[in-house]
Amino acid sequence: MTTKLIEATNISFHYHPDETILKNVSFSVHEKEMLGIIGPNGGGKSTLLKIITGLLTPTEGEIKRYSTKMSYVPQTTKLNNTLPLTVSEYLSLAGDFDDRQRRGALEFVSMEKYYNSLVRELSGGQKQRIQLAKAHLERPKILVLDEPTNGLDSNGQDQLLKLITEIKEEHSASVIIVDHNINQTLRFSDKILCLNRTGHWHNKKELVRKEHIESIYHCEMEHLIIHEQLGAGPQTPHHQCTIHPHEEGTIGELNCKVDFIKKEKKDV
Amino acid sequence: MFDLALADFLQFDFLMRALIGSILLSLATGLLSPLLVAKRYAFMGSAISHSTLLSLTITFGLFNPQGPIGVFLSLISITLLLNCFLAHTTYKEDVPADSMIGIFFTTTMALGIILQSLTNNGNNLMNYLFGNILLLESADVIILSILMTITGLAIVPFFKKWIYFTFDSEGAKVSGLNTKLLHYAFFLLVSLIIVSSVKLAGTVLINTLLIIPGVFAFKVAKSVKQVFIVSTLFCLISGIIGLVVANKFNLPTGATTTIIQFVGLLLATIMVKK
Repeated sequence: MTTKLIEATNISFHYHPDETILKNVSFSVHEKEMLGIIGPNGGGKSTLLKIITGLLTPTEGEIKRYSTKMSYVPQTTKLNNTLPLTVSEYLSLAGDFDDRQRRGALEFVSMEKYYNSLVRELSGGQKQRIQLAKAHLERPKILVLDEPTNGLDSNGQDQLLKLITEIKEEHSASVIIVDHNINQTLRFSDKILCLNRTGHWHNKKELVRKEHIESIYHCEMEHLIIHEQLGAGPQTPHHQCTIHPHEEGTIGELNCKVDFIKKEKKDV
Repeated sequence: MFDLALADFLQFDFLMRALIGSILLSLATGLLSPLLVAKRYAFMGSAISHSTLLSLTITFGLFNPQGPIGVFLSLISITLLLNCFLAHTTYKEDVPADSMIGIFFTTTMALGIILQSLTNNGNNLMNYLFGNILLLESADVIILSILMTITGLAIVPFFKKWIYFTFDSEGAKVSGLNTKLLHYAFFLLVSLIIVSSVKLAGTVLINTLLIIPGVFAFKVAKSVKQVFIVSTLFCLISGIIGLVVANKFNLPTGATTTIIQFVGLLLATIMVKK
């Protein structure tokens, strides 16, 4: 039995009472598990990540973190451009890491040639990679990533998610990732949480069904993903896309692993 | 010119006190200035310095303490009380920080002016608005040296934490750094420096000494450590030159130092190409 590292119970959040961003979100993530959060823009994904990391406080509900070793790679980096900090100096802020460790972390994200570059001169995507290298150095038990594959081609996305999986395995960490690439998220995550402000399937205590995802995404988008997962291309008849509930799973316990799609793939 | 100036400093105690005070103030502002500029808190420095006007009117209008230590304790207590509110609201970010600072700035000044007109205690606020080195006593120099030590001890041993807090505030907070403590500590340090320098530089002009050195250093320096060294040296040199020039031509010290710092910044802007 793996150790639980994050547990959220009935989390709700709003900036203004009339505009709910999250409502009664509950989930738990154990070590060596990756929770993928998917959903349309404005669905509350980034807000939830900020609550998980402690940058925001939920207006209702409770979040328990069973480890303080946490790293966060935000969607848009808010690194200060005034300070002339080099990549190497930035990595050393996270702890007492020697030159070899810092270079190693940069190699991990294919950024070794930027060791002495100023962080402010890097692109947004490069900054995000540097932050991932920092997270790798910090050896977090909880790694939170907000759209880390932005701006990468499909190969790059695949590589990055493999790196994240390596961090997860190497440090026995929980990874919580928000990504717009549903296909990749479904493939690499162990658990999936679909968010659409007030509508998120895990709260309904029902088994996972295709219509729950349909209610989160537009049908066309969901259709495409399932076809991609089946590996059969867009011409596959729609009836073959039926999602079966996971045998153990209730939505409330978030046991809905992506196996249900993988099983479909085998059937096909 | 420097020989003559040196003779003056050796001959007159008030000039020597002003010189030591300037050096101590420069060391403290040199360390704080780059953080203030990088955090985009330049306007915050103005708000704190102008809120001391209210602290001054309350101090002299209501308490009227005796001696520099009494004045300092009264000023710092009121200023910190006022600025706790500012630190709290800017940390929570419910309202945009610049708007909050703007509201705070004008409201505390307005209250200060009203209170001054009501109490009409006869103290010359002009001395505190623009500084007057003749007011500087030995106790003020001791206060400045204590505050310089506090600032040094708060910044230098925790330099990496301050840089992390400034450079990647979100990352630092998630990694477990107590960013709230650093935020409040920063407000405390800036308040201490501003209050302790009202006689030397004045509440209006002290903010220049907190901004220009940092901006100058960011123009000239190539690394983070250099930024802090350049800022401190710039503060020291301009502070001493300001005092010598002000003494030589019988000018107000705070204003002279401000102009010298501005000229230095102008030259750096023209000469340094990045």
